Amino acid sequence: MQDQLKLQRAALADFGLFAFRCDDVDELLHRATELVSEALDVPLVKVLEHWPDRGEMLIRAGVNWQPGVVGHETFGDDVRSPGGYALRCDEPVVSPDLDVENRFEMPEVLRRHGVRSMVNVVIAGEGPAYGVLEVDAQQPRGFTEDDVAFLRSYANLLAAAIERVRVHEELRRSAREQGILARELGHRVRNLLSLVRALASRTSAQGRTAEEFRTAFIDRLQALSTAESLVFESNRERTDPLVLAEEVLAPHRQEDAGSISIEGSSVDLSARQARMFGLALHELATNAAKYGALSVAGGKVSLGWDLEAQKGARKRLSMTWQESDGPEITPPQLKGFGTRLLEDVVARELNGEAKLAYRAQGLNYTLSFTVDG
Amino acid sequence: MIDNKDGNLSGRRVLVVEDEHLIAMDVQDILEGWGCTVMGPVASAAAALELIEGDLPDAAVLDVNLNGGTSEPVAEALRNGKCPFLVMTAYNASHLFGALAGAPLLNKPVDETKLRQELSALLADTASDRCSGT
Repeated sequence: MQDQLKLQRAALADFGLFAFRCDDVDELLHRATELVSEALDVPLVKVLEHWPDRGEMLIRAGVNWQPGVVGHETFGDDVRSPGGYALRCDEPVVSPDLDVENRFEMPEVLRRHGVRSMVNVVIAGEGPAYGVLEVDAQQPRGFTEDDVAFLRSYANLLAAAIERVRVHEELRRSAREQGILARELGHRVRNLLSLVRALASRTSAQGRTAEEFRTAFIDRLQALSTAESLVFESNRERTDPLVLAEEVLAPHRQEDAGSISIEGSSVDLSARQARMFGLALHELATNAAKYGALSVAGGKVSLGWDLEAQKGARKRLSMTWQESDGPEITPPQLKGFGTRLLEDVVARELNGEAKLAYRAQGLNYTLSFTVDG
Repeated sequence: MIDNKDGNLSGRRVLVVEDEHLIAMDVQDILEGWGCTVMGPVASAAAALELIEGDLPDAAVLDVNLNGGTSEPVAEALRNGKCPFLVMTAYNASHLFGALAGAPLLNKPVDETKLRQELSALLADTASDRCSGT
């Protein structure tokens, strides 16, 4: 008897150390059943994992079972199965002789293995119980209080170890995801910085004072930043051209809200499309304020777009910026960055078409590109 | 080695492959400022391959990710033609694969001083032989 106790104490100590180092639940459970089998001198030991959604208990780990049992066989989690009964009682259930057991039914698997007596103890969980540790002997056996106490200690140790592994896995997964997100964010920042650099170096310093250059650059940066914030703030990395247009053009509508009319349907723009759409509108408005309709009182701008259904969920967005009641305009002698941006960059970036026309009525700009819907 | 030690890039033909047009334009203007002749910029591997078929540049500046594709096929064609290139990307060296692996890498945003140094070094290494469009 003394030897048995020593063996049990050693098993607890061994498993404690093993559990502390092990990061794999299956390995953990398997080792647990092996040690219990030795310590109690019982051939058949198993861990039943409770799956409440299915109303089942799975033989997740075990020793000395026939092939095809561990990892496959399940029992109902109701009171008619030994494991289910222990789970509901929430205390150790000892059956010294299954021939006279009438609290629950004997599953076929256990009958096949010649099980005649058993002890079931609950393995606790963070919330509901994880499952049951079950010890099966092939002859009637009166398990002692010490045996049961040993199994309870053991099951509690196991519960703590399972929880530890689960938390570890959770932390690792979350760290991995964070790492991926951080790297993606890094690329995004570098790309944005490249765009900012390009805007700074393309914004002409010629014939401008430092203040004028600063204003021209910062205003462009603001348009880019507006588009980026709208996209970034949405959960879907998308934004609506209507919202974008209103934000980008807001500074130009302050004095006279009626100077720019905006009419268009909502649709999803990607980050890249939003940047270009925002930059284009900014260039148009700035240009209008300097030379076009917005440079005089009573001048008007009408901005609008249509969406035409295309293949799949795709749509063609056709936008028109039309100025009227402004001063007489003439095409610029030299194509500045603003013009290049409107005619060339925007069209290429959006894989669409863009056209600037200096009409007698006022400046006309059309832009069309495909959106995913 | 001829005259590229000091970074004299004048008259050199440089292919630019970059899918963000604003950034491409920036690189183009920088290169033209040094007197280079820019081939492109092009935004896809297919367009780049078409452009350099039978008419290799003296050097190339490649972005890696191109609208879902990559510039790896261009890197391969350039290696086959013994034409030097450098990679300019928002990613790090571990993302360079295939023919892109081992190429000099410049991080975005472009640093003009480094670009000039790297490009001069590339051209100096190959100035004595090949790669003049033949």
